[in-house]
Amino acid sequence: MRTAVDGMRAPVDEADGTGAGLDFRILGPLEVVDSSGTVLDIGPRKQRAVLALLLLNAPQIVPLDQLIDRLWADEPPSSATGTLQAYISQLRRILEPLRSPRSPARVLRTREPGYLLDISSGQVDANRFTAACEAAHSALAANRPEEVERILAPALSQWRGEPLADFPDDSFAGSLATRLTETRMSALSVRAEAWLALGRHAEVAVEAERLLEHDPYREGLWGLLMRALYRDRRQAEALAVYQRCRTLLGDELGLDPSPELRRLERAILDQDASLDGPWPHAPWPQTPPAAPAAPAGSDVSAAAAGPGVSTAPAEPAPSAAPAVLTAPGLVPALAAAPAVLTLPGLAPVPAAGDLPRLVGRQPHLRRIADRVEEAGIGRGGVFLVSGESGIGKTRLAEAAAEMAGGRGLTVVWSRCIEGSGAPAFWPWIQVLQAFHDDGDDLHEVLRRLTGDGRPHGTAPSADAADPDTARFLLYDAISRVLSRRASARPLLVLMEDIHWADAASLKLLTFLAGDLHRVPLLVLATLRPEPAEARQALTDVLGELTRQRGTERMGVTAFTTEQIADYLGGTDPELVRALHDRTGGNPFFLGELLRLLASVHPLDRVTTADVVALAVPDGVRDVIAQRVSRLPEDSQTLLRVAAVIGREVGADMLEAASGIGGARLMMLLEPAVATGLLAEVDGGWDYRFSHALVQEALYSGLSRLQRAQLHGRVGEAAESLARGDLDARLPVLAHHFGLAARVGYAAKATSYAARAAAQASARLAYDEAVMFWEQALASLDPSAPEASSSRYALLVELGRARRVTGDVVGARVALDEAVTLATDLGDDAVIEAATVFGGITLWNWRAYGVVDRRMIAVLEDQLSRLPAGQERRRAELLGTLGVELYYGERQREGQRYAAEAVELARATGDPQLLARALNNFIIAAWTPENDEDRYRAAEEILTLPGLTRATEITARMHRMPGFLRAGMLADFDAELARCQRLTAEVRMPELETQVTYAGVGRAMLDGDWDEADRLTTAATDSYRRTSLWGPDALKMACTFFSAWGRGRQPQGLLDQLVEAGDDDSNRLLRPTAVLAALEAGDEALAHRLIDRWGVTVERDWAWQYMVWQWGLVAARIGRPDPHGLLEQLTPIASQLMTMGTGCVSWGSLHDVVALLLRRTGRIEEALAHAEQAAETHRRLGLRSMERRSAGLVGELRAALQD
Amino acid sequence: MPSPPDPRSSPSFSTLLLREVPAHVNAAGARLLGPALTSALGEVSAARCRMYVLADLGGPAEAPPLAAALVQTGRTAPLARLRALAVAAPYRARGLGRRLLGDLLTELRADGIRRVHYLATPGDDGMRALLRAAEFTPVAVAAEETRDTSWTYQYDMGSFDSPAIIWFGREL
Repeated sequence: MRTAVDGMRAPVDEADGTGAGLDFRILGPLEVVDSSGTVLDIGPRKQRAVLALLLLNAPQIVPLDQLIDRLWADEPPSSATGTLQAYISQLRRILEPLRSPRSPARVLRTREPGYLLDISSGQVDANRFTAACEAAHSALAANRPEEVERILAPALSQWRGEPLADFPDDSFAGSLATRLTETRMSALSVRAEAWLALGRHAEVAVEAERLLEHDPYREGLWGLLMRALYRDRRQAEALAVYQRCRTLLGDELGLDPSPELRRLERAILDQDASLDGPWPHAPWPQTPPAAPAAPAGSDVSAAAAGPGVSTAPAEPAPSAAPAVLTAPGLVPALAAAPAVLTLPGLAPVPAAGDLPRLVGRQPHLRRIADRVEEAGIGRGGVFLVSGESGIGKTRLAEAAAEMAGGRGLTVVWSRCIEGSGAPAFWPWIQVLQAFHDDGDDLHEVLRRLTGDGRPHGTAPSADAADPDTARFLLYDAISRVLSRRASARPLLVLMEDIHWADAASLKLLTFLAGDLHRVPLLVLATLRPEPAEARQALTDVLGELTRQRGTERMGVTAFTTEQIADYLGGTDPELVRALHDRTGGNPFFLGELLRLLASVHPLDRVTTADVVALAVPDGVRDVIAQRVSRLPEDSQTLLRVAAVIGREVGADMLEAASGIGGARLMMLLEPAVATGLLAEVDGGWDYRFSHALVQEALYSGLSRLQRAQLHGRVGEAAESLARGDLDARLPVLAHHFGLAARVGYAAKATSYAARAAAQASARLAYDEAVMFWEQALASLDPSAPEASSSRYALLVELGRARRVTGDVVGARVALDEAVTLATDLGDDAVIEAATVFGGITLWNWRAYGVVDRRMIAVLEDQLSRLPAGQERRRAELLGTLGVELYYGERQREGQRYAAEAVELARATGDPQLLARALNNFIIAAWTPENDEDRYRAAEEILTLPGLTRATEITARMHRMPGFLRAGMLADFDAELARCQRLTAEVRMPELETQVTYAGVGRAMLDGDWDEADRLTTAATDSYRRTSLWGPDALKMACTFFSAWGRGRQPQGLLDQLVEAGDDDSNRLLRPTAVLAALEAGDEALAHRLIDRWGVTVERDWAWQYMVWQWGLVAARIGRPDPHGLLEQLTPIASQLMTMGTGCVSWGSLHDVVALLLRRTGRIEEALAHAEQAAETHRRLGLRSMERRSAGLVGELRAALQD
Repeated sequence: MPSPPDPRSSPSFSTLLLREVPAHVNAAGARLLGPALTSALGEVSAARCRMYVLADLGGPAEAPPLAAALVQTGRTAPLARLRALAVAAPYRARGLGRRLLGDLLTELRADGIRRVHYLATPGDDGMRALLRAAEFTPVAVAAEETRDTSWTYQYDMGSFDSPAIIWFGREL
């Protein structure tokens, strides 16, 4: 900060419109002068008072609640806040007339929890004056009296009257005025002293007499007068002055003159030579005692100590304190936070070692442990734990109590109570009542604290002449009681919520704190930092406390996402993020949220969706509602509109939706910013809710109808702000109009949702597309014209989109309804709906073994009625029908239809149609004997122009098993890498899943079982997001073979396999279950399972995998018939085994053939196959498989030797 | 389209907002103000007439405002005259007049207006009660306070007991 000592104008070097040129004057009535020297009109009294309060605290923030409390204590906060805001706005206009309404204020700023004047110290006349006085005193002390006048003259000329003369009745002005007047007296004394040094004796005598008229008890002035007269050779008068002084003091105060003055009298009588020089004691030490720490350049608030303090020193006795503390407007809205970390089922487990286990609080616990330790050996103090409500302060205090108890300290709790219900000293009374009277004056002290009878019938003032002394004696007595207890046994006092403590209790704490560093007594006090609730008394006490030796303060902050994960004992990161977003990491909110969730679901089943879908818990909502209700009503309305807009609130949007101007909007939102409900975003023009719960609480406070109407208004606002460029805002428009569909916005809702869906699809955001199509359907007004055909069209799109996201079941539901609606709309519609399924897919859209007869009937009906010439349509219908027939007895017929579709499509010359028909064929003809044709079909797709990435991935994936079977591992790997890259771009779970599964099989070939397990988990997770058949079945199969490769089976897998195998659609798992039984050494179970399930193998896509598995079984137990299996396997012995798109892959089939041959006693042939297997694996670099084959070779050679 | 909400069925007006609209005979809410608007526009320029309405943002956008007020500002002095304030019939006796007046005073105060006047005429009892509740007091207007305005008014000297026409004023 700068201070201008010379030239008593505020510095104007920064007159850049920022307010640096403003000069604030309080040495007289409050006045503000701008850089041109014009005195500004700062408005009516209350407005001036607001400015004065801000000025006295500048550049510190004055909390909004404090301003209201001081100036509008009788008014409800809501209207008072509105009035205050109007004054703030007006003051801003006066202080910064050139500021545009939309640029942030730079002089009078809003900052949570209130407002501040951002000015430098030198811009306030009182600061410049104080600084000048300091400088003058220094000059005098340095024996440069000639400078004093030059320094002081302009400073003194700034005085225009009593400081803040226009606020005679306001307590905040009174004590400041007293202090400044005192400083002025000192300045005048310094000036007189300087005159004396310059030989202006007579003038000094006149001045001293004049000053004594104002303040006759100032002995320094009497001394000055005596010396002036003496030097002016008026010795007799000088001695007479001494007598006047002595008489005055004796008569009026019963005191003698000070030794100082007596020595002066003696010196005059002796005509002492020292009287010619500067007298040892200049009058400066009479600087106001209240401002000892005000060096030159310090801001005025340090000297004035703020408005709150001015009321405090006047307190005559502790009993008067509560009245000061119960000012309305300071009552915190939140009830005491419960201890949240002890939620049932989530209670932190105490760790071994000294420190209790609290998530994220280890630094605090370590520090508290240190302090408890130190207190135990005689070095106590005050430890302040601060943090917002619900942050876990009490939990820390409990942990401290636990530690202290363990170290042999006596632990005493006390709690401060919100509001005026508690007596003064209540926290200390609780502490003292915890002790037994052991013959000292404990009872006496308690009686005095509680006013419960006078001590031994004496008057309260018996001990001391004045209230201050009485208070000192009381504090001292309490201190002695506590010290005695503590020296007998170290003591920990836990004092909760001292932000609610009465001023007397706080002062007592400060009093005690001075000595605690040498007493074995530690006070651990918790408090909230929210300055909205912090009274000046508290602020001052905290300031004072922190200067004491042995006092420290530690903040407790919200949980990070990592800490939440830790708290929950490790869980889904997405869930953790959702919880963190919801609660801001506040343990209280987190606890509340988890409590609520736990009442609905078992906690280990809670998902992200549950968290997101949850309504805001009541407690939190009520807290927020109370805070909001303190704002002006129009501000509340705006916040509600803002809540409908979202967590982030663009001011343009809010302005357009509410229909008011920007300047007024800012004014109305200011109190919300000042109270921390809203935060200004970077530039200060846009806003965001400080906490998601604030927005949600406001939103949930609206009726459904209000919400709908407001969404409509916000939608209209977004529409008008888009100014033609709607594309960027489609999701926003769809959102708002969708929620306003019921109040007249249905048409817009449907139209924007459909456009947003199409846009999402185009941007490959398929899940969003599904959401928007669903929303479009939900918004559709059934009474609108063409509602039925609109609905049909939307259903088809929804079916298509769900299909893409892998939601096959959902797609079928939508398309079934579309087919039904289509019967009224004509064949074209039916065909469109029915053939949506026939689009490019990697996998059959039916569950394993399922045939949908209704769909087949519809397709056949359409085909039979299709007029000639519609070859396109025919190709689509035939291809679709081919796939639909795959799992039934008409599979071969289906293959023919699909092949016919390919021919028709090729004839049309449309590459898209051909790709689709080829893809249909690949699925419809997925049997072992068609591998070649299918491979070629996939090749052909890849030659077609204009492929989508999804189609390309699909075709490549269809081709890949062929590479693997043929042992073309390098090609397979290249394809896999390419598909992995492509799927990262195309967000389709269906493809992602299959590509990941292909990776599982590849890892198995490498014998990298850990990687196989990891990919299995990833693939299964992504598979679950589709509704296709099989995630559990595939997971079990992969898990089994990976474990098989490792040589040990996980617990329980056998049971799961057996149970799953009983389901007909899990037929693929049956041989796997039998193998698992054999692995478990339970051959009897293996036989029973074969008896129960049979050993039929379908000629479908899984044929090779199935015969391989049965081959492995037969080689072990001779069932099914090894000869039959050899017949099937021997012709394909040179292939590598792979299932489906590659999720289980197991190297050369020569191995299983060798095993079967050994089983049938044909050892030599077996050896030949085993050697070929080993050779294949060696050539392909499959080390793990090679070792396995080599082992078999060794066994077979050994068998031949025998 | 559902019908507009019945105010008596909604527990509170949590989405009301004071809005300034151009003072114009066709403005939404002009009907509420009746002849006061026409006469004000006849006496002073439209630039000095401010019309405020209390709108329910939680209601249909096309619904008329719930209450309206007309204020005339001084030509240069920080004074304002409240010329009319009316609440739509279905919404009366629900505190909306007080709400509108409170919002209005805040708005004027933020604009630097120091004093507001209202000329009460016979039969204006509801308005008088409203103004008294808002700390308006009957005043004899000093000449200098109206120097900058073109207001003309009659102060009924004859009936001191219960003056039929009286100025109310309030410092802001």
